[in-house]
Amino acid sequence: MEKAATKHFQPSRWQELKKDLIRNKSLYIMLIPVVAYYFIFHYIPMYGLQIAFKDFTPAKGIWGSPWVGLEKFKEFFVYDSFYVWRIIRNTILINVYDLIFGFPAPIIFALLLNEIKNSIYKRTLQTVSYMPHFISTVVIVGMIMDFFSRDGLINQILKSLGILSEPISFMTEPGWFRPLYVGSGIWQNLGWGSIVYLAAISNIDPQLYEAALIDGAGRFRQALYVTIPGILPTIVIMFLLRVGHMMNVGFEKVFLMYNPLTYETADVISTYVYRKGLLEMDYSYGAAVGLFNSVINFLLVVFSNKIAKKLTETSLW
Amino acid sequence: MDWFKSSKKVLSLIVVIAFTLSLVIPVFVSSSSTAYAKSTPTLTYFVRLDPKVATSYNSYSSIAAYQILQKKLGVKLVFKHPPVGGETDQFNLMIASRQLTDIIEWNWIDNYPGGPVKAMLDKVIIRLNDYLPKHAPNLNKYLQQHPDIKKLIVTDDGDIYGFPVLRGNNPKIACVYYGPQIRNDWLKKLGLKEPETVDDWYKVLKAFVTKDPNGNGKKDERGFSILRNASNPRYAFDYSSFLVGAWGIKTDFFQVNGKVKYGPLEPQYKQFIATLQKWWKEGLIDPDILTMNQKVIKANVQNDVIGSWIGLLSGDMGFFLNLKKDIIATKFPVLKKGEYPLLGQAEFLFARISAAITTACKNIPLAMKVLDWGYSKEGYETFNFGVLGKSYIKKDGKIYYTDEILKNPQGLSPAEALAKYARASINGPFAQADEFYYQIQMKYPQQKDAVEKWGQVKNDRILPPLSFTDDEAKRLANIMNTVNTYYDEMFLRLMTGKATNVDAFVKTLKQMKINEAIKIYQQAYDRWKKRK
Repeated sequence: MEKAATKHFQPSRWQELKKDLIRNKSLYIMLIPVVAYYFIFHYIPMYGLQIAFKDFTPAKGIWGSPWVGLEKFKEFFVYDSFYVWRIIRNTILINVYDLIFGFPAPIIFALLLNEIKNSIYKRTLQTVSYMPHFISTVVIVGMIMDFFSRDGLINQILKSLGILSEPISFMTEPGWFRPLYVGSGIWQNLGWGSIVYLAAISNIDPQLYEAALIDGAGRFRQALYVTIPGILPTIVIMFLLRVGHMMNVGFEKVFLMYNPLTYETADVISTYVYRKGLLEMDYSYGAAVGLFNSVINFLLVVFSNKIAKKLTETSLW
Repeated sequence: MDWFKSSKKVLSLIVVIAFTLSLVIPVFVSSSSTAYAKSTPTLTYFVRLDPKVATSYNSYSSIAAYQILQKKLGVKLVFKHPPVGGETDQFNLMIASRQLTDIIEWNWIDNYPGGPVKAMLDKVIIRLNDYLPKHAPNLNKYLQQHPDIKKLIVTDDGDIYGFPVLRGNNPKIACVYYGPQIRNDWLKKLGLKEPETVDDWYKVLKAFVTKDPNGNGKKDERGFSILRNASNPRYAFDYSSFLVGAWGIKTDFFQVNGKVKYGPLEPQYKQFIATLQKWWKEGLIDPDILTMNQKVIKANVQNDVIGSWIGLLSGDMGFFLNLKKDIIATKFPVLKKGEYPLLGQAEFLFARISAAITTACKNIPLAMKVLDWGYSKEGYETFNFGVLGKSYIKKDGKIYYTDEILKNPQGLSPAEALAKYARASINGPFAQADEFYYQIQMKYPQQKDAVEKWGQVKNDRILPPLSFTDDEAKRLANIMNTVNTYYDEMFLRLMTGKATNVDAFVKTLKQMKINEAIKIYQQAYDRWKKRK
């Protein structure tokens, strides 16, 4: 019975789609470049993923290279076991720190900005906070190195305040890598990341604030009971999107910031894959580890989406 | 809808212009390019852009020697230079994407995973043996006359894969260009003698950092630093064997009486590390060598903060002598006074770099001809000396560089000035002239003295350029990638005293199968010894 019903239903769905296509013609045309982009740059390259299961040499090409099954994964987890757990741990830890400290920062910043009533001051503050976002990573890392070098600004300030007697070499101490990485990330993305929350805040119905005011809520309580619940769906969506990148750390920044002395805390999956995959020309290995990484990312999104749905009724799908 | 109308006009105008252009442009482009293709064949050439050239030009095609070559041989060379610092990335991307140039000049032995044998197996470059007699008579003759060099440049199977970068005739001069340099005025001021033994070095460095030799009243002196490869001190010690050579070992692979060894596994390695730790702990070593900043180190040498360092003969020593710094070279340190150093910086007459012809090359005979020119008499003179009357003159059958090179009016160093005319100041596929070393590299007496002192090492423990089979190369890459990451990290930790247990370090190396790597090296070395 049910089967028959769906069979009956399908043509009308097609018709509906057709009708929609005609009605929103221009919208669909505008969609084409985006779909094409994803198809060309994200789906077609997936064809090359098979080299993760092959012993790829450029001379033989993707087709000609022999299949080796899970050999490359075995190489990663068994032969290279000296580093696997370290790089996975580092990747996750950097991300977790980034999530704990980096994720709430723009939200708090947006909430604080929202409380500023002087619009000129507010806009100036906002513009200034965007700026680091537009500086390239190379320059950012250059600045970090200059500020945090042994005779850099930070050491000099700490010395002149009498906090330190001997300069700290931030860039060569494994313990300083994560704070520097996460801290500079917050500084870089605070302003830019707050835009989406500010937009969400501006969408909150002013009547809610009035009602709260009549009920005797101060500004703090208004923020707590009106603003935060109002932007919660945005927060959850942003959080889910963020979790989808849990296993990806910006390769560029780590690569520029680390050195052999800080490998212990700084070496992450992407930098290891770079050294092994590109510098040693072991492309299959790089593809295998990349695939492993993507699978974990995918599982993380699905998993957290499920939790979010249960807890907050907001989810990606 | 005025706006709409006018914008329509503009649009139609654009369309008309675009249409007209599309008709005209291809005519221009195709006519010129086909005309070119008919008259002069083109070869693409991948090679790194040397900074000495980069001060004047952004492509090797502007170098006078190459302009002469192109004219003489009726060929157009299009140079593809990777961005400075990104050479390896760019090279690997080129190989992976198969967008090969006709000619690639590269260190195939060290910088192609698996070496030249693998590069031929991967169908990146071609075997030249069959073409050599007919299309490269000059190189062919040279190799016949120099069997010792031929042994260095072929693979175990006797395959020739490239046109080698050769350092000239006299290994005592040509292969020595990197070593310890020290402030002579500081020594004199403190009444110290030039250090000879490891103990001397310690005393000198200790005096440098405690006695204010630069006389500024501050304790800002640093004893010892590293100029090249500052980012990874291990490479500096690997490469020059400074200090570690005193114990007769290297930090990486070497051989004793035909037996391949690996530095950290040798008992002497502990003493070397202990010495390094002592130097570090007492502040004798420049802490900047950990933060990969060569520029800062160079500035500190200039500002009279650093007392001694390992550096290049012309690039570093020449540079500082030009600034009237009173520096001299010292011999590589030994353990007992009067001993002859066993290991120092050592290079072979073949500089490990070769210009190879790729599988993408459509005109192999022409590429052979172009590369072979460098080994002809004419090519030798042009590549080494540049343009007659401009960059060099001939007097009584001898060749001299002109004042434009030696005392450049624009303030370029001799090597930089020569780079505008010839390739001698940059390694290239030809045999370097001894005159270059005498007149340019050793312009100052201190440099002559440096070559003399640095040349006083035996260096018979150094491994020659080995070649590995496909399987060996794969296994080796697998082991050494793991080992090198660990070693890089541990070397710095051991040096700075953050790790002290050499035995644990060695134990981990063994777990990483270092012994298998040594065995592979041994096999390759045994094959090398059998080469004809």
